[in-house]
Formats: sequence, C-alpha cells, structure tokens
Amino acid sequence: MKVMSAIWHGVRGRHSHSSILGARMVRFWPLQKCSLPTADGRRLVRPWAALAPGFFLGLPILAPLVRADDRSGARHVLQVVKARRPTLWVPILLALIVGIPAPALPAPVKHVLVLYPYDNALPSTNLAGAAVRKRLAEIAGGNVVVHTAFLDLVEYPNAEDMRRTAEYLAEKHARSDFDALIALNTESFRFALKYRDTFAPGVPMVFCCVTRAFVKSISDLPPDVTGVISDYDMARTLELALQLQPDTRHVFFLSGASDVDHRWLEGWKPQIDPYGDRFDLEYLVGLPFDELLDRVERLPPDSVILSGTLFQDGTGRQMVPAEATAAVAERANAPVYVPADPYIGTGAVGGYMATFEGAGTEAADMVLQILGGAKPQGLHPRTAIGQHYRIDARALDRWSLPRNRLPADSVLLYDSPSIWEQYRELVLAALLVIGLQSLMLIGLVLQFQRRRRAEAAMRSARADLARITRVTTMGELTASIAHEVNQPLAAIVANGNAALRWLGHATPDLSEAREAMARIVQDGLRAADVIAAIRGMVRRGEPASQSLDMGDLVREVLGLLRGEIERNGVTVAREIEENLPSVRGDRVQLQQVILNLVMNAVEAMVGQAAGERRLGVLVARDGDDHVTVSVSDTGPGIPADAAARVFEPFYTTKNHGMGMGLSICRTIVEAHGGKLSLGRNMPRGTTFIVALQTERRSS
Amino acid sequence: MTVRKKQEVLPVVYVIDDDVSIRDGLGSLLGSMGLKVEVFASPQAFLDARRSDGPACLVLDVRLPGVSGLDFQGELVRQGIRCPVVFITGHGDIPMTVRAMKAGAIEFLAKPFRDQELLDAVQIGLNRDMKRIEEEEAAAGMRARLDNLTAREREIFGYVTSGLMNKQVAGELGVSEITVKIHRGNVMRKMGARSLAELVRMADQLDIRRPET
Repeated sequence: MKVMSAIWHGVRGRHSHSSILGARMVRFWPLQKCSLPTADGRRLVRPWAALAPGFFLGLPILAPLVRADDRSGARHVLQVVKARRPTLWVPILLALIVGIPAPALPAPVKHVLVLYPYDNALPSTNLAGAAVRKRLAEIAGGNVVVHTAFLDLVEYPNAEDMRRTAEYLAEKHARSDFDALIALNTESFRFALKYRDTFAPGVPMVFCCVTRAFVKSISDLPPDVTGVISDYDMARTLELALQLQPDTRHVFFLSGASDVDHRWLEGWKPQIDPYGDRFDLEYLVGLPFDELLDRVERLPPDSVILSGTLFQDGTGRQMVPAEATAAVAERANAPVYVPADPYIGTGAVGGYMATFEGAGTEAADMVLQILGGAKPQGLHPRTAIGQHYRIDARALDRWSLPRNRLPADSVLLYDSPSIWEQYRELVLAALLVIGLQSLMLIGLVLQFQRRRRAEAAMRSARADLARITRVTTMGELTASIAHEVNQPLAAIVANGNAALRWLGHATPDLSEAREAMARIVQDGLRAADVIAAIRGMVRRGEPASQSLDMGDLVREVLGLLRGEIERNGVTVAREIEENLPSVRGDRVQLQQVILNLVMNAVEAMVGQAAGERRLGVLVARDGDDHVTVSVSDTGPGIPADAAARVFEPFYTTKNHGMGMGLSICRTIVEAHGGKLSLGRNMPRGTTFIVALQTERRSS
Repeated sequence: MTVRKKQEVLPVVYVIDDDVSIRDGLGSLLGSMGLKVEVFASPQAFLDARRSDGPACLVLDVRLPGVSGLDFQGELVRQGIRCPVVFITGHGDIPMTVRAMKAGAIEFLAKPFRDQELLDAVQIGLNRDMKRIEEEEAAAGMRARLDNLTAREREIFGYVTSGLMNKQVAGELGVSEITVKIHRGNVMRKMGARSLAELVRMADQLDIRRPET
C-alpha cells in the first residue's frame, strides 16, 4: 500500500509523501534503484522510474489487447514474449527492474534563475549554487535548465547600480520565462526582493543562505517567496571557543569596512555583546588590513578571535572574506573562530554552522516542489537543518586545544585519520591474522613444549627400562656374579693361610709370606672391581659420555660373565685388536649391550653337545672411523623370517625374560650413532655385530 | 728284583685351575706345607706335561672352560692315570657334588674353603696314592716272584692255598708228602710269605687257583 501511495504521490509531485519511504522500505531493492536519497536521509522516489516496473508487469495484461492484424513491431515482440512466457518473463522483468534506468517521459522544460550576489570567487555562494545545480540535475535531469546571474553587488552596491543590473537581467533573459528564482545569500535576496519584478515578474522565489535576522526584518514577505534560512550563530561559535579555551579573558571580534560587513556585524552584535560582562570584549572593525594583521600578532595571552566578514578593509581594498580570515589566522597569536564553512581549512579552528551544500540542496528541493506544482504559500521558510560544530583538526593541534573538550556532535575536518580509521577493515583483518598467527605460534610452542616433555618422559622411561633390564639380568646372573666374587675370595683365603703357615715355620719364609700378602691385595682389588662393575650396571642415572676402549670394555664384561660361561661349558675364543681407536659413549650402556649379546650366545648354545659350544668375541677396527665388536655362537642360528623381528620389543623365543634385551641394545647402539646387525655364523650359529663410530680427535 | 724305594720320589700335588689367583694362592698354601706343587691352567696342559711316577694328588676345578672336570676324570682313568682327585668349585653345584663323589673323588670343596680342609683332603689323597703305589709295587713284586716259580711250584701253590692238607695235595699230584712240603717251603720262601695265611692272601691277589683236573 505504501509503495502504491509513494508511486502515486511521486507522479503527482508531492515529494513530502513520496518521501514516506522509510528505512524499511528502502531495503526493497528495486525501489532503492528507483529512488534517491535526500539531504535529511529520506528517499525520494523518481516518479517516472516508479512506473517502469508497473509497465512491464502490465504487459501480459495488455498483450491480448493488441490486435491480431497489427503489424507493428510491438505485436511481434509481444507474440514472441507470449510464446515463451515463463522463461522470458522473469529475466526481462529482472533486467528492467535492476538495470535499466527508467526512461523519462517527455515533459515541458522549466527554467530556473540562480542569483549570485557577488562573483564566482566567493566560496559560500559557489558551494550553495553548485549544490543547487547538482540537486536539480539529479532529480529533474534535462527538464530543468539552470541560468545564473552574478550580481557583483560589492562593486555595484548602490540603488542606481542595482537598478541597472536588474534591467540588464531583464534584457538578457527577455525571451525566457522563468519558472523559479533562487537567491543565494542575503544580499542577492535583498536585491531580488526589490527588483525581481523587473526581470522575473510573478516568478516564485526561493532564497538560500539568508540569515534569520534578515528574514524577520522583512515586514511583509510576499506569498510566492520562501526559502532556507541559515543561522550564523556567532554566540555558539564563541561558546565553542570558550569551551576549548576555558581560561579566556579577551575576546576580539573582527569585521570589515563595507556595508555588507556592517550589516553582518549588526546581526551578530546582539549575540556577542552580552559576553562583554565576563570578558574583555573588543571589536576591531574597519581597520586597514595590514594594521589588523599587526594587531592580531600582538594580542595578550588568553585571547580568542572571532572573525566576522571581511569583504573590504579600512583602505577600501576588496577582499574575499575567507582569504582574509586565512591571512589573519596565519599571523594571529590566538586561535580564530569563524561563522561559516568556507572559512574552515585555512587556519581557523572552527565554528557553529551549516554547510552551504546542505542549504543549497534544500533550496533546490523546495524549487523542485514548486516546479512540481506545490504552492509557495504552502511552503514555509525553514531553517537549514544540519547545523553543527565544524572543526579543523589541524588548527586544533596547532593551538594544542584539547580534543576531549569538543562538543559531542562536532565534525572534525582535515583530520588525518589514523591508520585505524582509514583502513579499519584492513587493520581488523591484519589484527585478526596476527592474532590467529599468534594463537598458532602459541599453539605450536605449547605443542613443542609438550613434545619436549613427552620426549623427556620417553627418554626417562627408556632409561628406566634399560636399567630394569640390567637389574633383571644382574639378578639372573647372581650365581655367576657370586662365582666371580668367590674366586678372588678363595684366593685371598688361600694366600692368607699360606702366609700364616710360611710365617709359622721354624724359620719363617718371609719372602713367600710377603708374596702371599701382595696377592691378597691384588685379589681384593679384583673382587672390588667386579662389585664396581655390577654396581655400575645397576646404577640409576643419566647416561654419561666418556672416552672408551672397547677392548677393555669387552674384557670386563667377559670377566663378569666368566662364571656363567664356565657353568654352561662354553669355550671362549677371544680376539681383541691392539691399539683400538677410542669410542665415545656411556660405559654402562655399552657393557649392557655386550653382556646381553654374550648371554644370548651362551643361552643359544645350551642345546649343543658339550664340546660344540664355542663363543667367539672379536673386537677390531673397521676402517678409520669404526670399531666393531662381533659376538658369535655355534647355536642353531636364527631363521630368516625371525631375523627381522629379533629386534622388536617383547619378541623372544625363550621361556623367561621379557624379550626386551635386543630392542634395548639396538636403541642404545643407535643412540651412540652406531649400528647393530646380525648375520649367519659358519657352519652354524649367529653372529651379532656392533659397529660404533670412533671418537673424532680434535686436532 | 727291583723295588723302588718310595721315599726316593717326593709326593707332588697337581693343581689345575684356569684362574691365576687360585693357582698362585693354592700353590703358596700347599708349598707352605712342604708339599711339591705343580700348577696348570688347563687339563690339556697337564696331560702334555711330563709327570713323575711318585705319589700324586690332583686338585681340579670341576668346571673348566670346554671340558667338565668329571669328564676329565674319566679321561684320566682311560689314560691310566689313577691319582686321586680333589674337586674344587666356585659354583655351588650340588648335583655335581654327588656325581663327583660317586666317581671316587676324595673330596669336593667349595671356594672359598678353609685351608685345613684342602690340606686334609690332599693329605688323604697323597696317602691313598702312596698306598696305591705301595700296593702296586707290592703286587708287581709278587708277580715277579711268581715268575720265579717253577711249574711244579706253581701247581703246589695252587693246591696248598686251596685248603688242602699236604697229604691230600700229595695224593692229587701223586708225589710224596715230603715233596709237597719241600715245594711248599720253596714257594713260601720264593714268594716271601711268612705264613700259610699270607701265602693264601697272595694266592688271592695273584688269582692262583687250584688247577682243574
């Protein structure tokens, strides 16, 4: 319903109703395409554009109305369309609604005259006029022709000049009838009020950028005149200054010498004078510009400068007010506050104002309403909306004025936006990526730590397992160990008794006794060595790396195991090369390896006949960089399929033990950078070969 | 008749153990008792060495690399070496002990043993060996003396020691009793027996029987 009303009123030109399209409606995309935003955020439906969807929706209804014998192209198109009804309708409809701008239906061209008070140098009227033109073009397109007139009222200000100007305009536009008049600025409005009958009689007028004071001062506003009032609230601008500079004691108000300047000043004085009670207020009016500049350079501290208009200085020199204010702002030793938008950007801090563009756009809207048929009487002059504080951030920083004291809804101009403001999404994305990467890094670090801990735990568990295996093996070898300790003990007892007997002779044989004592000492130490070796095997502790002679190591192990070897009736063929290069490693661990291999060999030969149990131990160098220890037995050997599994944990063919021995051995050897392998022994049996890297000698 | 005097050859103790400390220790210990000691690291070394014929005793570790002590003992017997054996061991081998004793070992000692235990065992061994040598020498002497007997004397030897009276022997042989008495006297004299009982013992030892008819 609302859509239909909008379309209806759009056609009728009643923008106020078509603007009913609120935020919710705007989301309806096709209508979004057919409508335009207004300055106050509402949307204006293009009247003719709104018809377009209706037209094409209505085609199927209209189609049967086309007569069969009509040979126009329209019929042909309709027939084609009818034939392919479903498949063709939807794309056509969509294309039309989405893409093609609605064709404007032909309408009579309107003429609008825009009056500029001075010339094309004044920024304020330029801005307003440009906004007017843009708005008219936007809405009415080619249906409105905009004419401009620059009145040069500063140069030609008196009544005689103005009359001539009016006549000139009448002559110029003799053959054109204007449908509306736009007066930019109070001065052109004033001119137009007085002289419009000369060049635009009966033409409705819309004023723009005119002060409230002036509009109020008009006793009888003609009914066909309306417009947009601009408040130049100097009091609020001063309030801004006082808020930013609470320690202010001096207020200086600048104004030019021309009539225009005086009129502006008179409008502002009532706003400013009351502040004279609290502050030291001084008006600098009509001074020669150079003097003014000198003056503002030497103002007392805690001063505030309010700049009015400066169209003409004391010497009669014409000026562009915005440029004059810029020069003042540059030279002054106090901040400058200004009444209007064009003054901002050249050094002034800011002020309370509306934009000229906004005012121009609003005025243009009013003109469009009038052109559309609205009665000017029905349109009351209204205030340009959107007045607010506009601040130049650079001037703020120059004077070190606190940003946090700015009024809440200030517009901060020329603020070089921080990276954050400019590239908000990019920064967010970058932060997100960095954040994610950091999370990933943290995750990786945590994982790494966890892995390190796990590895340490595993190493510790392995070490424990190796030790337990050693302890278990030592337990199994108790009988043999007891034998190994027993031998030196028996020798000690025998030697001790011998010594006693030698000494007990009628003539004691001292040399024999002494020899016996010496042997006791040797045998005691030998027993201690055995104990030490066993203790080393069962000790707990971190692997210690030292320089080892593999020959000595093997000898020590064979010594430990001699009892076991004897008990099993095994003959040992031992071959240890001379001058073996040293190997770097943990003594206990490598002994564990050799011990395990020898024990395995002995156990493997249990089933052999008594004379057929031969254990071979060979320690030799292999090239310059390796030492090998080979342990061979004459047992039944290891079948090929089992050979691969032999080093697996828990694999055993024995009916005792855990089967951990060889897997631990391999782990130890490989941890030393070596290799543990096995091969066949001839004519039968197995050989295990431990290859270890020699210690590199640092030259 | 060559009877070697047993005092001419000193008794000797042989020690076989692969552990040098044991060899040295036992060597010194036995030496301090005034015994002659010879030490060997392996059974083979012992077999290869030249040995005296005097009384000897063997101190042998029951577990030696390659060959068990018991097997070696058997080997010794096969080779005709009959000296007594004292076994020592560093292992606590109970089954081995039983077997060893059954095989005739003097003693089975576990290391470390008291010196007196070893010395006593060695002494027993040596005494036994001395006795054996004596017996062997005595037997050898007897056999030599037996060879000196004539055939007839040998016959008489057999009859007389079978429990027959002189008269019965005479009747068996068809000779006079006096002849028998004279032969008997010769036999006793030649054999060196001082009484009939001794002669009978000799006959037992030499395995002389009454000849079968």
